Amino acid sequence: MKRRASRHETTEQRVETWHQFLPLSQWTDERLVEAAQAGNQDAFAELVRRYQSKIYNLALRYTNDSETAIDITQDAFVRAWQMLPKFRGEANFYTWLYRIAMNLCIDRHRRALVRGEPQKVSLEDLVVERQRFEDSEEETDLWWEETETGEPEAELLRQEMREKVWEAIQKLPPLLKQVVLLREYEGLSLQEIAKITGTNVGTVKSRLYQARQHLKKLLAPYFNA
Amino acid sequence: MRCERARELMSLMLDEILTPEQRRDLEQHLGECVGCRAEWKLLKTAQRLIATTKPAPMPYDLVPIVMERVRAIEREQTKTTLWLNIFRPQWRWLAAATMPIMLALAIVGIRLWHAPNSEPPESIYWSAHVTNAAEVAVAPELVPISIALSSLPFAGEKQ
Repeated sequence: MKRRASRHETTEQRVETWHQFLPLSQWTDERLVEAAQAGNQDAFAELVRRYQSKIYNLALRYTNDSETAIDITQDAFVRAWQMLPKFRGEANFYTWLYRIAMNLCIDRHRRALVRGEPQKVSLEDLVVERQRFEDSEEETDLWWEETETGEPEAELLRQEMREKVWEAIQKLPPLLKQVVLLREYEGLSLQEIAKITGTNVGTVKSRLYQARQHLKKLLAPYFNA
Repeated sequence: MRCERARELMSLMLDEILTPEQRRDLEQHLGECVGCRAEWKLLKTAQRLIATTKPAPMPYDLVPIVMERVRAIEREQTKTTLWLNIFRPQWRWLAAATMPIMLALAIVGIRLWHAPNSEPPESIYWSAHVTNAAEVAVAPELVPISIALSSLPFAGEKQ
C-alpha cells in the first residue's frame, strides 16, 4: 500500500512538474488561476480567451444589447483580476466569474431603472387566457417542433419561435430571468446557480418554477394552434 | 393529483430531479388532464428551443482590451505601492526609533531660532574690560596700541 501511495504521489508530482512545459491553452483552470494569482498576466489572458464568449452571451441574453454586453464582459474580467487575490477556490472559476458578470448585469438594470429608461412590458399587462388550455379539446399540433429533418420551413418556424422565447425571457423580472439564463442557456446545475446567485437550491427551484409559469403565459398565444 | 401540484412537478421534471414516484404520479396526471398536457408540451418545447439556440459570436476579441486595462491597473498599483512601502512593518521599527530623536532636534532647533537677545556673560566682560592700559602688561612696542584700545568703549560698558 505504501508503495502504491508513493507511486501515485510521484505521478501527481510528475504531472505538476510537466504542467509548466505545456502551452497555456492546455492548462487547467485551477492551474491558470494559481499562476494568475502569482502575477502571471499571460495565464489570466488565457482565462479571458476561454470564457469571454460565454460571459458575452450571458450578458447579451440578460441585457439584449450588444454594446452593453461588451462593456459588462470587459468589466467582469477586470473585476475578476482585481478580486483574484480573494478567490480561494471554494467554487469553480467559471462559477465565480458568472457571479461577477451576473451582479454587473443586475447593477446595470438597477441603474437603468433609476435613470427612468423605458422598461419592458410587465407581465401584468399581458392578458392570456389560461382557460384556452383547460378548455381545448384538441392537443396542440406543433408539427414544426417534431420535425427532425432539415426542412427549411420547419427550421424557419423554429427560429421564429426561438426569438419569441427570447423575447418572453427578456420580459421576466430580473431575478427570474437570471435563473432561467443560467439554467436553460448556460446549462448550470442548481447548486452552481445557487452559488452564483448567493441563494440556496430551494430558492433556485422556486424561482425556476415561477419563471416557467410566467413564460407559459407569455408563450401560450404562439403555441396554440 | 391537482393541477397546481402537477405544475410544480413539471418544473422539477424539466430539471430531471423527480423521484420515481413523483414521475409516475405526474405521468398519470398528464395522461388524464388535457390542459396540463398542453402546458407540459409548451414548456418542453421552449426548453428544447433554448437548448438548440446557437451562441452569438463575439463582435471582436476582447483579450487585448481587457489586458490593457489590467496593465493600467497594475501600473497604478505599483506607484501606490512605492509610497506605501515606507509604512511596511519592517520599516516601522526604524520610524519608531528615529521619531523621538527627530522630535528632540526639532524642539532644540525651534528654541534656538527663537532665543531672545541677551547680554553676554560676565566672563566676556571680564576678559574684554580694561580700565587702564597701565594695568595690563604689554610689550613696550604695543603700548601706544593698548592705550588707543583702552579708550575704545566695550560692549555693554556705560560711557
